[in-house]
Amino acid sequence: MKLSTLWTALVGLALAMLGAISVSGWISSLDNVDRDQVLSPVVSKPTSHGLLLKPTSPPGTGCTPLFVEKHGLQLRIIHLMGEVRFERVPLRICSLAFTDELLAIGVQPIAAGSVNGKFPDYLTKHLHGVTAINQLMGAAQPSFEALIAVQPDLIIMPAGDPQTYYQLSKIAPVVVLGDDGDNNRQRVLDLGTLLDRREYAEQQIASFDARIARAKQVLQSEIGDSKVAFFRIFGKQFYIHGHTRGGLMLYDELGLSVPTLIADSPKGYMLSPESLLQLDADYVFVAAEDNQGAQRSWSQLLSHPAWQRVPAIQAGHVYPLVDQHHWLRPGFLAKLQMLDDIVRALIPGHEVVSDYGQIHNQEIDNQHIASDAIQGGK
Amino acid sequence: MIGADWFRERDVSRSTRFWSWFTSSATLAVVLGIGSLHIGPTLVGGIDYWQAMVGYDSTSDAQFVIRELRLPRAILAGLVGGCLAASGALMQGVTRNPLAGPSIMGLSSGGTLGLLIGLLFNPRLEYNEAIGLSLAGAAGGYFTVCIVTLLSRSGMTPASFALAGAVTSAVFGAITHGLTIYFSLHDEMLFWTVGGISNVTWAQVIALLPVCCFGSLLALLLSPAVTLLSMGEEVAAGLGQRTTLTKTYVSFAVLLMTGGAIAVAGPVGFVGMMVPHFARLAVGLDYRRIVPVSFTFGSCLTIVADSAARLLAGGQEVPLGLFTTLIGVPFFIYLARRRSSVRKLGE
Repeated sequence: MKLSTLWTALVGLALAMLGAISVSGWISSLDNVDRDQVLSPVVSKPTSHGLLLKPTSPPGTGCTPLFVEKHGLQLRIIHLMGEVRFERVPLRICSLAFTDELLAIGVQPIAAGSVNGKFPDYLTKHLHGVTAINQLMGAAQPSFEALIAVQPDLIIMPAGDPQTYYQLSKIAPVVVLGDDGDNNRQRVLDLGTLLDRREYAEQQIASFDARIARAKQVLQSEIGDSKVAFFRIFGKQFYIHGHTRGGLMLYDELGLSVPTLIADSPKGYMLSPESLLQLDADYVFVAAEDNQGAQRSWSQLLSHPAWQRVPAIQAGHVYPLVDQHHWLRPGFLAKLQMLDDIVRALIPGHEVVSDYGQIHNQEIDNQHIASDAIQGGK
Repeated sequence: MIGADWFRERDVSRSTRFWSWFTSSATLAVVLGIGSLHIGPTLVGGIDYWQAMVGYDSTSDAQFVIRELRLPRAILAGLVGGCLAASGALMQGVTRNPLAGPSIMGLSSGGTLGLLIGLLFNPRLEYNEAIGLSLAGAAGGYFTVCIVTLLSRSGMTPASFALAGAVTSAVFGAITHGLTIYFSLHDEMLFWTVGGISNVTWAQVIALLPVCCFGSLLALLLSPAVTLLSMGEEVAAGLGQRTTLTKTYVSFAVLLMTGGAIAVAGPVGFVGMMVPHFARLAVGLDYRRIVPVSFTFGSCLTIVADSAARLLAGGQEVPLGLFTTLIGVPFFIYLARRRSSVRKLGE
C-alpha cells in the first residue's frame, strides 16, 4: 500500500515537472498583452512578419486585399469567413476593430469597440457621440445588446472567434479583416474600396509613406545605428517589445536598430532586473500603464541599481509615454502619432512636418500636450 | 525518509538526530543560496564572489549582479521559505490539523483582502504600510476562521477547522474579486499578488528581516508550549498550560511571519503546509525540533524553487509560487491518500 502511494506521488511529481516546463515555455513565448486578443485556432496570428512570408493569406488579411465586386451600387464582398452583399455603400458602420484605419479615410463609425467603456486614448477626440461597444475579451464577446440598439448596416470585426462571427452576422452583415494593427496600408485600401473612398485612401497612404521615408532619412543621419528600445510596464512586470506593437513602428517601419536582447527573442522579452544589464539600448521609450501598480513598479525601477547601468539611462535618453495606446495598437493613425513622438524625442528641435489632412491636424494639437509630458518626464 | 530509518535503526538519540538534520539542512540552504548566485544571464566567475564581498568594484557587471541583485534575492527566498514553513509548523501544532497552512487557514486570502482595502483608502501605499495591512488582513482572516470554527457544533476539531478555513477563504476571495472588479484595481492588485521576488533589492530584505527575526524567535520560544498543545487541549490544560494565551501568542507569531513573507513575495503556495511534514518525518513530533528544522527545510525549498524559476524559462522570469505549487499539489494528494490508508488500517 505504501509503495503504491509512493509511486503515485512520484508519477504526480514527474507530471508536475513536465507541466512546469511546458508552462514556462508557454510563458516565455507569451506576449502578455495579446491576452486581450482571442484568436481562433484556424486563423494563424497575422504578425506582419508571418504575413509577408505568406502571400496566400485569405482575402482581407495580410497582403491579400479584400475582394470587392461592384455592380452599380451593389457590392459583393468576399472576406476571410465568407461572402456578404450590400445594396449600396454602407453608412451605419460599427467597427469592433480597425476604428483607427476607418478614421484615417475620414469615416466616423456610429459605434466602435471599447474596453471598459473607453476608446483608445489617441482616438477619443475623433469619437465624440460614437456609441461604445464594450468588448470583454478583445474581439470576442462584444456587447451584442448594445450593438443591436445602434442598428448598424455593416460590422467590421477582426479575424477571430467564428462563434462571434455567426452571432454578429444575425445582427448585420459582417466583414472580417485581419487583426487590429495588421498590414495597415492594405487595410486602409480595403476600407477605402469598401466604402467608396479608394482615392482618398491612396492619398493618405502616399502621404504616410512620404512621411515615413523622410523621417527614416533624418533618423538615419542623426542617430545612425544607435539602438532603440520600447518597453512596457504592467503590474510588476517589464516587457520589452521586439517586432510587436510599438516595435513594429521602430524597427519595421523606421528601420531603427534592435537591442541585442531582441535578436534572440524577436517578439519580445520579459525583463528581469538582471537582464537590464544586457539591454544595450541607447534610447528607451517607456510606457508605464496609468495605474498605481504599474506606476509603483516604474518608480521602483527608477531607483533600482541595475536601471542606472543601462546606456540610455546614463545618457538621459529615457522617454516616458503618457498617452500610450497608440504605441500598443499600431494602427495607421497610431503609427503617425508614434512617428511624431519618436522624431520629437530622438531629434530634439527637429520640426515635425504634419501634412496629412484635417483629422491629423487636430491630432497634432493634442500631441503637443503629450510631447510636453514626454519632455517633462525626462 | 531513508535518513530517518537509518537513525532509527541505530538508535541515535533524538537530540543528535535533530542537530544533524538542522545543521545539514542549514548548510544545504547556504550552499544552495551560494549556488543560486551563479544562476542568471550574466556570467560570473569564482573570483567575482570573493571580490564582490571584499573589494567591491561597482563597475564590474559580474560583481554588481552578485552583490546587488542575486544576493538579496537568495537571502529573501530563504527568509520567505523559512517564515512560511515555520509558521505552518506552528499552525499544524496548535490546530492539530495536518493540512493547516497559511493558504488554508485564511491568512493568504485575508492578507490580500486587507491589502486591497488599504489600496482603496490610500492608493499610494508604501512597502511597510503594505506589510502592516497584510498583517492586519491575515489576522482578520485567521480570527474569522477561529470564530467560524467555534460556531460549529463539533467544536475545534481538525475537520471543522479545515472546513471553516476553506469557507472563509472562499468568502474573502469573493469579496476581493468583487472589489477588484468594481473599482477596476486589477493592475494594482497584480503588483502585489503575483508571487515573485525577481525585483527585490536590499530595501525589501531590510524590511522583512526584523519581522522575520522577531517572528522566528517568538516561534522558538513558543515551541515547547506548542508541543504540549499538539497532544490535545485537555492534556495541555491538565499540565497547567494557559491554552488560550498560548494560542494568542502563536497566532501573533504566525501572523508576523506569514504576513511579512506574503507582503514581500506575494502568495507562495504550499510551503507552509508541506514542509512541516518533512520536518516531522526527520525529527519526530517535538515542536522544539520541528520549528527550526522546518525553517531550514523551507529555506532550501524556496531557494531551489527560485533557482528553478530562473533556470527553466531561459533567462526570463516565472513566479516563484508556480513552482512551489507544482511540487505542493502532488504532495497534497500523497498526504491525503496516506492518511486515508492509515485510517483504513485503524478500522
